[in-house]
Amino acid sequence: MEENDKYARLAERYLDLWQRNLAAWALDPKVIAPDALSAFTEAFKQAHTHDAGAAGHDGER
Amino acid sequence: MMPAPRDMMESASRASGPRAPVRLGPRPLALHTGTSFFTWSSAVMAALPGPAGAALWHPSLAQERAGLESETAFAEQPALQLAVAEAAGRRLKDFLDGLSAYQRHPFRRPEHQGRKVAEASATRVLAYSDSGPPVLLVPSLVNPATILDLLPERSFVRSLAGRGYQPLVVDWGEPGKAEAGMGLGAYIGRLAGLIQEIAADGAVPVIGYCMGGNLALAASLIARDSVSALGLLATPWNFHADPAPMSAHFLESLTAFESFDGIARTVPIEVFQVFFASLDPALTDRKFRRFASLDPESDEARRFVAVEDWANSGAPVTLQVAIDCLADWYIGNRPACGTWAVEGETVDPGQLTAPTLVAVPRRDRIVPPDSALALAEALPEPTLLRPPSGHVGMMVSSAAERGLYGPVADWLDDVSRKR
Repeated sequence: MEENDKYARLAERYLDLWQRNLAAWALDPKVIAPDALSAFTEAFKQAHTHDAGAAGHDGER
Repeated sequence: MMPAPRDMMESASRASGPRAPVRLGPRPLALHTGTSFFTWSSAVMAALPGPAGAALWHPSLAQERAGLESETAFAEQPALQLAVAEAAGRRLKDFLDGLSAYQRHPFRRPEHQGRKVAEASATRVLAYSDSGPPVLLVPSLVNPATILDLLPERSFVRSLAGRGYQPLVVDWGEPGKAEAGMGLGAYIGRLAGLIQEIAADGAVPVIGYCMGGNLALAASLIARDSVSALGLLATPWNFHADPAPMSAHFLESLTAFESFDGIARTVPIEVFQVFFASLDPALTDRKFRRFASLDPESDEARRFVAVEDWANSGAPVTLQVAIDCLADWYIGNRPACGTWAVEGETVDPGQLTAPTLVAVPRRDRIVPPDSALALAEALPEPTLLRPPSGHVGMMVSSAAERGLYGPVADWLDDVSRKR
């Protein structure tokens, strides 16, 4: 029982640290790739243009 | 022993009558649920011993991780991994329980509608008292004005009314045809016109919260004779004071919105919610896991729901406002550089002659204190308040009366005595 408590306490500390670890990676300027979001916005634009075309209102193409 | 979440919700629902519609927040839901799911489903790897696990850890935390690992012998690792897996599963369940409890919570903020005293297209000015010297309150264009009057016991508006003032609140409304193409400058011009209309019988104090402070400041320079005093609460000024790398990259990417012109004319609140989430990616998980442990019928749970409802609501902003905020403020940092201009005039806080108050909450993560303090430095002789709270807590926490409402009313009393 005592052993189990020890592992449970360690596990909680591991998880707190793991959550901080993911945030540290996410906020690390060397890791962030702004191009990924640019790709998203481009995909968004294309999807909207496609929808407009499908509805028969594609004035731009 | 805690009752099961479903039992708790049914109990709360019975107490308040018919079940209210399920909420779809926190917005964007996919981002928040995805982040928690990824965090806890990947956590088992955190307990892998040796180099395989070590590679997953950020260098800044390597030492803490090694310290934890040193507390268990190699032979104990399987037991620890099992404990981590079990605890991670509980955390994910707690998060989902908290999320579900929020979404189904029966509480709805009581309607407290003001009386319309002025309007300009979608924008209205609402009076929350019938007597007393008027004070105009200007909220942000993102998230609604209800934060100024969240709950009867947590209300800047009601506190001011209790001190004998007549709070007038700007409700920006949802952008319609009249607002299409309106940028920050046009909204500021509209606000200046409303200030002049309200001040027809004499100059009035104007108080802006968050970016409402930037709008109020610029409008006060245009309608200078109509403003008797200016309060600026958690108002950003030096946007590069505390650069958060993820947010900076995110915001820079959003400039792609400029090319959306003709496709989308407004920017939904979800975009801003992603920005707020980027400031602390683990915050939503932490607060909803904590919410799962609250008694849903407690005042604390009710206040949590009220704040989340506010944070997850709000009209979209026009595309031009979003672009102006990004280009001129977050990326260009024009206010602090002295190059932010409205209607051809530089917005120079040094030109203000009315008494000013600047409130800079000490634990603000949305507007870093150094950003708001830069505004205090740019003003001639401001009264400086340092509430011991965060950006939202300053306005609605238990410390709000002592840290903000009371001191602001004292300042208004003082200003009016000296006039």
